[in-house]
Amino acid sequence: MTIEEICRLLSTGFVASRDVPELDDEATRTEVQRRADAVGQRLFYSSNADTYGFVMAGELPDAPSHRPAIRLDRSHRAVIAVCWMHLRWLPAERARLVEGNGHSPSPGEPSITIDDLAYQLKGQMTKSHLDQKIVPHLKHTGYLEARDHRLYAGPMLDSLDELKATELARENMLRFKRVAHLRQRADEIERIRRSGEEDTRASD
Amino acid sequence: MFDGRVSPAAAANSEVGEGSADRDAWQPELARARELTPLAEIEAAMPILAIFGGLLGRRRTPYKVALIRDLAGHASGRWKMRELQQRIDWLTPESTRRLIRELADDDVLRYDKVRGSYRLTPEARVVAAFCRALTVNQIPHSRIVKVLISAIRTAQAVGASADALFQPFLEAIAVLEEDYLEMRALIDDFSEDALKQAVIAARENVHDMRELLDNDEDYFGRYHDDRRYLEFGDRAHKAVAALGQLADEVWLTVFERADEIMRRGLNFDGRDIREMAALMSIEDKAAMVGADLVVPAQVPPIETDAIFASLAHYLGRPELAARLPEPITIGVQPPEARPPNEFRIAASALEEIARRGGAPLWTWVAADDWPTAVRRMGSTVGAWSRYGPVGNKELKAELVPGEGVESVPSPGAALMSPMRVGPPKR
Repeated sequence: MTIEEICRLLSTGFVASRDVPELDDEATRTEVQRRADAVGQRLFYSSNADTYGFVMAGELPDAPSHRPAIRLDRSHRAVIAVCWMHLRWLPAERARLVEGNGHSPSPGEPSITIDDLAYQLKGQMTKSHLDQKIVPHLKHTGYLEARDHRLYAGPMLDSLDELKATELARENMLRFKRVAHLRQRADEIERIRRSGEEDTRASD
Repeated sequence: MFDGRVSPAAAANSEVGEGSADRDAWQPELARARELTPLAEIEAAMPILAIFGGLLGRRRTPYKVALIRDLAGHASGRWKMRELQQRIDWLTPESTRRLIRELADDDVLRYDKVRGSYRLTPEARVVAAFCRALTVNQIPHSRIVKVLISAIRTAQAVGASADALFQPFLEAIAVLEEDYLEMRALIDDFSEDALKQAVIAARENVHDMRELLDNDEDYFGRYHDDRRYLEFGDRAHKAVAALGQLADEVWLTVFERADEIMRRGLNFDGRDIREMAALMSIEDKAAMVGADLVVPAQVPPIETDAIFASLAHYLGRPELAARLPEPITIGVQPPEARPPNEFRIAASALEEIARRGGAPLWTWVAADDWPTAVRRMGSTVGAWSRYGPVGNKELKAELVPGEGVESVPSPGAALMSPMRVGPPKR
């Protein structure tokens, strides 16, 4: 494949690395990257999906009438975050733990269902909105892939700032663990309080 | 401001059709005999309570409170009007005079006709002291129980009835019960930051109530046999126990146990993530991946004007975008239908003649029929313009014009301007 053909492929979608062996060559990769840079893009490689593609690089300048063809708003980002925690963060944390204790990691590619996602976004978006609008858009943009009624990580899920996302996810998990402990203790204290009230009523 | 202007509340009332005269004329109706209501006790206390009314009435309240605060802090207890006007130097003498008269009319100040002086009554001193103590813009939640306990102490000191002691006690218990419910709601809402604020105030309130209960003899010694004391005391103990336990748990968890979890290692599974995500707000979830997520590159159909405007803005020359020509539609044809490049054909023919050593131009232009001769002449001019010395200088041939016209022995033309094609001299 010529450099032009590779660029044409990558600027219109993702492609498995086995189909562009030319990118193994350092000089070719540098030239492809240079051409992507020249049009405000960058060469992106997903190690989990072993896939190449072009992604936008840098901020868009201001243009009041600009209507971006691809946009990720708060709802998309929230769904990406939930998927990332299940499909990337949890497997990575498990792998880290099994490395420590010598056990083999759990087999199988991690996945999630629409129902499961809907539960975790309950009150924030409806299941039909998630199923018909958000998830198709995230599949189109390469963040998710669908197979056999389950959602798997798409190559773009590797484009997140993993360090920052991991730090925030751990902070949230710590907070959740603390509050979960508190909830349990609050329920116990409430049970004691109620039984005290019942005793008082009985003695009256 | 209360100086004679219509307050927003009064304006709101008048809007709904209730005039001030109607409001003043209105009297509550009792549902039972007067002696079976709290009114008798309150009416008996009106000489003192009216001082609050005189001081905190609807008109010029801030001026009166400030004036009384000033006088209460003064060692001397009697003042002539002239002394008052000198002392209250932040008001004009006339305003001081009128305010003093109003305060005397409301029994906040008493006028001694014999000495021609004004003085604060003992009750007015107490009222002034409370007004001064309560001159704050808010009472922090962590001090509410303390303030209510002070009210119990005050009621004790003035020898008030049991109700006056039990009412603030009941209010203090209600504060603890509300704190407990609020803290549970914050735990359910996953509001850790709000919990940190709430637990500080709750622990303070629990501490103050515990102190009261530990010294209940001092406060309620006279009422140990009162059924309300037993009932409220029991309720207070339960409220302190529940809130105290919960506040201690919250304190330990949010302030002291965070590091402990980190030390033990953060273990979680998919179920934890599921429950955590369900509790998180959509903003918190979105924030986790940041606002600058990248999107795959595409070639979307966007407005050319916007692109040029953006480019011009980037170059710092916005006027560039204003002078763009109107767009035109460019016809796209399949490769086989594309017309030959006549200029290139002419250039090739001229270069071939030059390569062979040169010849008159008519030997190629007029070699066929008249329409071909016309087309080839036009192409020759085009090739000379585009590829010749005034064009890109790629043409490897020279055209040398002659004078007049010459007869051409060819089927395409009879006469032509003489023109010779030769090798390039450059």
